[in-house]
Amino acid sequence: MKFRAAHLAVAILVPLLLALTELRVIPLPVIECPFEQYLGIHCPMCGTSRAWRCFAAGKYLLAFAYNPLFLFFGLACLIVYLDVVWKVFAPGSTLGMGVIGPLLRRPYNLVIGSVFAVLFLYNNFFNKLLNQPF
Amino acid sequence: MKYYYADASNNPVGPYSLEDLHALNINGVVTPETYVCVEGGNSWQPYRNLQIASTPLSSAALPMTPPPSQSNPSRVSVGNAILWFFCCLPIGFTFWGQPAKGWIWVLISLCTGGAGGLVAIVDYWMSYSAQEKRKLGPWEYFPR
Repeated sequence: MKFRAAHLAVAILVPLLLALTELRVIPLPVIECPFEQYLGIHCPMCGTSRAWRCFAAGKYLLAFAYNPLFLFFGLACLIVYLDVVWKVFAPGSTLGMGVIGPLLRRPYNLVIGSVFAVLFLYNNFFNKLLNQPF
Repeated sequence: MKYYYADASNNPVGPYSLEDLHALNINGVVTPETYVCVEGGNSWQPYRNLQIASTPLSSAALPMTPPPSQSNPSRVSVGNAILWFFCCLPIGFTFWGQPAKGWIWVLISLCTGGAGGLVAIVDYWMSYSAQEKRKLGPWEYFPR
């Protein structure tokens, strides 16, 4: 019961807090990426939330310019969230690993690693949008 | 017939009846990979193999031998851990069965303006190191 209650709380809190923050209903600070804040570099995922905001506003090309893989990251995050919801009803089993588990195995992990490496270089050396205020 | 199971610290816990073990399994305390040993026996085996458990010996209170050193057959490699550490922390946590903890760290980072992310990084590394040896509980290493 404790296990289910904790996961249920996370399943409710995550979308609620993210939505309220995104809509500026509650004055939480905008999340700062530790990589950018402390290391001064852009991680491969950098620009994903800004890309989704553009996507929601119908600016599809700009969304891809912010992060070409924003759809992939969004889908992966959705699966991870659904895994939390899944564990509320079926503790001990997993939905997420069944779907994204293959990403850990060759050749998928090598392909993803290569793509992320290219994206890392693109974000840090070519993507000027990331350094501009949104 | 009663059984002991090996907890996260590899210590025997019990004894429990088979029905109790099933209840613990439903609650997520005992997983199919958790080692169990029949009371009085000295043969540890994964819970999923319980149906072919060895026969009990005498009425000794504790198993004669400690649980075997466990290595997690589904452990995440360091390359994959680093890859997803750089890209999306909750996804990395999901690979060793802790998606809720990953999301909580995102929320903590959100509420602390990113400072909580530093603690999350430490937690990520500790969880990664532990999952190499055994399967982790859903909230293991999370400060409570």
